[in-house]
Amino acid sequence: MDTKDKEWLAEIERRAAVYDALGNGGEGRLSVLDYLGMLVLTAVLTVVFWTWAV
Amino acid sequence: MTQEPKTSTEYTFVAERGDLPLLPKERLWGFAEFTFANSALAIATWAFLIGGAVGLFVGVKEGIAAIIIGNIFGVVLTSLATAVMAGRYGTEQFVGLRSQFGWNGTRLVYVLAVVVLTMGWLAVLAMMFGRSIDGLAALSSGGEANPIGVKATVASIGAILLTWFIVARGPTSIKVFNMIVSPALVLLMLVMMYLILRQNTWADLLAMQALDPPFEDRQLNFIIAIEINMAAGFSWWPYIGNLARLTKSERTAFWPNILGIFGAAALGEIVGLLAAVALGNSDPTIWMTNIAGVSVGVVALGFIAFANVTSMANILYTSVVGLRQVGTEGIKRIGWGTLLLGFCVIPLLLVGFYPQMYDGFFIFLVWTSALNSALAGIGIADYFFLRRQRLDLRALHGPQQGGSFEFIAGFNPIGLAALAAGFIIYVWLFNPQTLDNHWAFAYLTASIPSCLLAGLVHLVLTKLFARGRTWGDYPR
Repeated sequence: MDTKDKEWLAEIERRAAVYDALGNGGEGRLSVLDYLGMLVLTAVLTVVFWTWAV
Repeated sequence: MTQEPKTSTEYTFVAERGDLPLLPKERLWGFAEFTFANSALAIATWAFLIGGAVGLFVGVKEGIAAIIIGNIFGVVLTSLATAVMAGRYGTEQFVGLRSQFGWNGTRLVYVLAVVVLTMGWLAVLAMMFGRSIDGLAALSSGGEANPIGVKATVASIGAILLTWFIVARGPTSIKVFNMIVSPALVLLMLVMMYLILRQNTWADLLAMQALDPPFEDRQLNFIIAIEINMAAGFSWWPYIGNLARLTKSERTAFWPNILGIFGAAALGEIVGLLAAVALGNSDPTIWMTNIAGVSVGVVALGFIAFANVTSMANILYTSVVGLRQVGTEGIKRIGWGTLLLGFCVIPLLLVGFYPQMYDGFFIFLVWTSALNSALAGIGIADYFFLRRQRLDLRALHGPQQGGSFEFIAGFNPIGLAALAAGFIIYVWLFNPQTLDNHWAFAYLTASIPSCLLAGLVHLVLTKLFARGRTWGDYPR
């Protein structure tokens, strides 16, 4: 492995370590409420428009 | 392994290009910026085409419902499969895909899902450009338009060559076009809505019937209309992951897709539907001349031609950048302009020898959903259920041979089998070419079963057979 490859791997390691440090935390992660919101939004739009059209 | 710059600025540039994961501090877009960016992507001339195609199957009321229902399912599932992962880790979509298909399998998926889709859209949009120019010439001279005549074909070929020329000059020229076209298309939609509502009341519009329903069974026609819109929603699969990686958080990577892509695409399609049904023709290049009269029609058609080139430039640029990412060393050695031209050969042939593709473009769109819906299912199963939202960035970006995503010679047979299963169930339920369908299609659609089955096959086979570090290194 030459020096350039080592530098490249070190940069990958540095970036991966940033995400390791964040773990499951970090700002702006999707929460249970977000997933529930997606489910409710999809269900409500489907039921409302289906009922309206058919 | 890629070339190795030394300064952090150079590494940021390399990360933006996709060779490294973007760090949170390097991300550009907040909620508003991402909403604007993907609205601009979604507001394109294809929205008029899709809305017009819906009008062939169902009337206005059912059409609006089909647009909303189909798009919300397609956009939510596609965003879950691509945008959430990219938003959390900042990884390029097709680098992230190595965890699902292997580093060589990803190349195969890229060719199937991105290259084919983009080449098809390039041909369809070029034909729309050609028809706009032909219609414009007919309006100006008072003659008859001939959508499959020599004039339209030559203009279509010219559109592809013009797109090649623009993209070969680099992304700056595309950005200039985007800044003009997106706001102008919104304006055009509002003008079209005004003109339609000036001639018809809202109640009249809602009562209007389909232009050419293929079946007597209204529910079946309605489900086909929903399926076309699901296909439109799933067709964002190749594109939104790489936009979402530029956002500042996972939540910002997801929700703007609902406001931007779902909202903007639905709006454009509804305008296309209303115009097509009210004016009796699903082709925007024809209804625009009917609705607007000569003077406004000339302006509208000229603008549509211009807007099509912008959309073509966007998808050609994105696809060829991606092709260089996933391509072999041989592909990477080909010059930018030559590679772009090579990409345009099949669209040029389609324009020259298969102009009928334009009128049945929705058939091509729905075919793509047989793959995209399965890809979304596999993405959700792999990232959320098998990896529990943890990606190994070192394995994704480091040397691939002998790494975690080696599988068999770089192909994950489980992911590919799941993709095949999703595709087969889709075509078994609904044949986009002939519209032949299984009775279950009228209750389930085809995209949803394809998405579910592909995800389930990937989940179960991976749990049963994927063992060891070079088989995806799944957590136990």
